[in-house]
Amino acid sequence: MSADLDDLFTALGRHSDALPPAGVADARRRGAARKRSRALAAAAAVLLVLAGTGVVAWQRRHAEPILPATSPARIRGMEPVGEPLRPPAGETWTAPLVAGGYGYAISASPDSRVHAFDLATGAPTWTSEPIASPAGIALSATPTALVVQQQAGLVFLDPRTGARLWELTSAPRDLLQLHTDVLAHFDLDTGTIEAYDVRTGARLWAAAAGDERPVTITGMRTAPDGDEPGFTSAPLAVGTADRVRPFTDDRLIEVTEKGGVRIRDIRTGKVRTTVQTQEARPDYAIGYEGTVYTLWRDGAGSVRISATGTDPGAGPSRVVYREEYPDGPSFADFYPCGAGTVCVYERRPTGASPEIRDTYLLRIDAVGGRVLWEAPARWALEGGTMRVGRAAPAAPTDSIVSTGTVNEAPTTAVFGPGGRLLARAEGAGGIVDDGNVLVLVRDARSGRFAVRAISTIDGRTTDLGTVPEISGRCDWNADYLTCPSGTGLRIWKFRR
Amino acid sequence: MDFDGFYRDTSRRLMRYAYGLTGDPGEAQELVQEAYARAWQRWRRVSGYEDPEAWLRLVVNRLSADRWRRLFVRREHAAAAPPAPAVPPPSDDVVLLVRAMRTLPATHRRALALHYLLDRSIAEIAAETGTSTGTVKSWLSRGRAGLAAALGQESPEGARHVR
Repeated sequence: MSADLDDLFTALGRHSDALPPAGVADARRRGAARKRSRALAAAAAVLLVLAGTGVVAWQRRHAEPILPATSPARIRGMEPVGEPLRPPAGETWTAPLVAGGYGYAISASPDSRVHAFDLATGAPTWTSEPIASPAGIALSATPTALVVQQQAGLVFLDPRTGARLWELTSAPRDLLQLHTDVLAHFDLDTGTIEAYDVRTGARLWAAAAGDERPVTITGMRTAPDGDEPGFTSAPLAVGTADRVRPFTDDRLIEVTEKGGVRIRDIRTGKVRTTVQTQEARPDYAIGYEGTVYTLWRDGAGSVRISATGTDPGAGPSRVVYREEYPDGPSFADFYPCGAGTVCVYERRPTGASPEIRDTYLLRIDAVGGRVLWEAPARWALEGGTMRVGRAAPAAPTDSIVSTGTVNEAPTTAVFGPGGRLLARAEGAGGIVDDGNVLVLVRDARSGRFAVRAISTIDGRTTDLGTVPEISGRCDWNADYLTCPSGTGLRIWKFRR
Repeated sequence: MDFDGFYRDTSRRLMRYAYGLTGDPGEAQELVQEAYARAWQRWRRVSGYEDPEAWLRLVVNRLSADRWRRLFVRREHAAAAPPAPAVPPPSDDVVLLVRAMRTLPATHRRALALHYLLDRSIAEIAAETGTSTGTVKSWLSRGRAGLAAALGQESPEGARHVR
């Protein structure tokens, strides 16, 4: 085999040239269909307004819980715990996870095993039997089971001993939702939903597709979950692929092909509520604090987002965001960001070209559809994430944390009330608790990372220390940080 | 400029670019057709650009980085289950390169695809991406290093010879 780069790319170009193009007629037909869809959508909008049904009055009838103000102490420093944990000879650490008082990581390739260690001392506690190929492997934890996600499905381990509890084989297209006590499995081919006890693997209930076939399932996230939602192609579609957290609420959301939303009790499968969203066959759904947000792409390729309340008396579903691409702002991403609000990353043409766009973050009232605030978020140009959960609705400052990457340079920003930028750091980060955000800023010369804590209350930044060059993603909770490096897995305890 | 002639003259090159970015023939075909459909919708304006082909590449960039679009395509394919395009099997070299390219950041893949597949100079890539020539050199250098590392894992021979 020749490995000269020119030769390799020549081979790639030759293979590409041999691929049959779909043809100009197909491109014309696709473009024409878009134009027709746009025209029909415009006409329908006019008719709706003329008929007086264009305005949906959706009064918020459910009261917000009054939460006591929280004031988590500022993180002032961090101390190393124990000695770095060396991986087995010839292997590296991957997928570190901090859960409860324990840390977990996988020693990768060719013999993948899960290792557990005591966060307070750094001492190893157990090592599992070999799991499988490390490709696409990830860890998540419930109070009673450690979940190893791999290409062929899930393996459940005892978090205290590492003993294998049970396993579930799933197809790549299946959707899995991890609750603290239950795993819901949706088979896209048959439309069947099954639920299993995460500890024992016992099947708790099953629901056949029925007359109105489901197209997706998702969990109802709540403020205490501290989830970082985002799309992942991995089967366990809870949070981002990097940080998968189980949801705690018992409501499982099932969205049907006709746009219906069924709320089931995830423990029993019984349908608690059924409501109707704006349109059939939504492409994506996420639930937060009683509201289900659904996303569609219409025939013209434009995105719209609807909010549908599921609590009694919530009122009808309504569109809260509508993309205007290609001539106006285009949709980039969205997340619920506090009870009754949704945050949207939007790209706006700069004027130089329709495709040269700046990114903005919009916080939208999901009840009235009003934009509460907007702010430039250029760092999210190549995709941003946003933490939703404890920091959004419960923190005194109602802060929003936005992270993103441009030209491989990550940025973490903290927005306060009214979209005021409280702090910004050139590094990857995430929320620690209601009052603190952690950011890892890489020094280009040394390769080491400066660890900083940003207060979501006043935006002040505190330098916590440095960590060696990191060989993979770090993980943390309110008390501990763990990062893999070339020499071992290191643990630090936060000082308040 | 007429749309059919533009498609005929440029679609192979755009396909090369999309294939280099994605490493997936089916995904590349989908991206290319979507880009041309969008060009057709506003052809009067696009045809007036100084470099309409660069505009198409921008659309391909945007679409390839759009995780929502991938979700839509997956859903549509799941619903419609169209037949897979007739694609000749890639050679071992292509398989290795595609696998190595997938390990690189998007900016590196973009620079490598423009340089090696479309023969664009460093200055031309800088102009198209709106960055400095120094940045482009860095992307190419780091991209080559990343390919060497990835190919080295596949084959020690690859690590020695990639340049």
